[in-house]
Amino acid sequence: MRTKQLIFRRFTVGRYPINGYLLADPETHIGVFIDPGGYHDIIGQFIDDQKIQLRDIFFTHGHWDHVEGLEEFSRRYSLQCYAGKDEVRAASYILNGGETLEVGKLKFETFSTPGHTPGGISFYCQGNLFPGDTLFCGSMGGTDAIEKAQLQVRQVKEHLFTLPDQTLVYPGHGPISTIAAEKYYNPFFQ
Amino acid sequence: MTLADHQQLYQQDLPSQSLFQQKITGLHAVGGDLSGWQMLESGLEQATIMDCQFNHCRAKKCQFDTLHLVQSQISSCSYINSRFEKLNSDSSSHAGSNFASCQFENTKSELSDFGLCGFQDCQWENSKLSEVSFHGSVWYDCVFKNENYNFVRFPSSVFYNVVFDGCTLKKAIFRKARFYECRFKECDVTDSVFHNAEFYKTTFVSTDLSEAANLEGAKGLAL
Repeated sequence: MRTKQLIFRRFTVGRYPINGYLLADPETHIGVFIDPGGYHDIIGQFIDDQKIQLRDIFFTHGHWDHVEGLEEFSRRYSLQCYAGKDEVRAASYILNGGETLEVGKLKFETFSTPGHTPGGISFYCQGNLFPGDTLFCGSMGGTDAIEKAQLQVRQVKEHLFTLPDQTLVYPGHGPISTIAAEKYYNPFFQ
Repeated sequence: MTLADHQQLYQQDLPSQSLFQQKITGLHAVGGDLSGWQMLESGLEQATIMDCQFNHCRAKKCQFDTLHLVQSQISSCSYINSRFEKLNSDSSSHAGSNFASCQFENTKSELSDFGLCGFQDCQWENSKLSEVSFHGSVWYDCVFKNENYNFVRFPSSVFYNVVFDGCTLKKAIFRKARFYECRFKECDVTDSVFHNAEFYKTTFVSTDLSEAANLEGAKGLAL
């Protein structure tokens, strides 16, 4: 989608299937994988076909289902890992939100979105949002305490719902959505 | 230049086109922008459309047969009196589109989004949908017949005079949905969620609501 500016593909893989996203700059072919919940040959095939130089891994959070493919990715590619504080042990760079990360000529903005996990990070690039489990289509990822859920709702409203309405939302699980749909119709944020 | 000239597209835009009484077979489009298309009394069959974008397209009295959409974005389109046979929508968004008097038969869809869509006088029959979202959608005078759903989501959707007939609605999410004069007949609602849903003059025939996972806050149910 929005393929003029991006090489983009979603892969739903892993033992507990999650949505992992591969994005690359169409000029330099430098790429990043967001949330490697598992590795599958179709991912490697796509990387080869598109001649992508996979250099980075971004983690929205450190739950096992979003991390499990890291070992296999690391075995195959030379990678730098980015994650929020105390989320992923293998992270070489710790994110606090507010950073801008460059992948080739792509620029990713980061947002601190704790709640589902304490160091949750959402990534935004060219009209596409990757909130992990912070925001689902018509729902949101669970927490173990009401205060955390309230924090999550607040962070989504303050950071993510200020993005343009037409922003496409690519969550960690389930179907895609838009900021407009979530802002006005997600029952958890009314 | 007709659409048929573009059997193999790659990273290529098509200009806005109008099709009238044409039938296109075997289109394979990758990475194009097909926005602005208008189709009247035309057909598209055996087509694969991948990584494409369609905005503000129009189709009236059209036939879409074996259309495979992969990771495409189709938004704010309008379909009138059209028929979708064997639509396969994979990881695609159809957000904000309107469907009037349309028929969907043998649809397959995974991880796709029909959020904020409007459906009027439409019929869905024999579909198999998994992790598809219709959140914030509005349905008037529609029929779901023999649909097979797994984890299909309708949060905050509104249903007016809608019939669910013989449908498997496992893990369907109707959180905060509203039902006006609707009818569930012989449906399986195992593990479905009706949290804070509202029902007005809605009937359940041979449908065991006790199988639902969450009826908390639901209003208007005579259990």
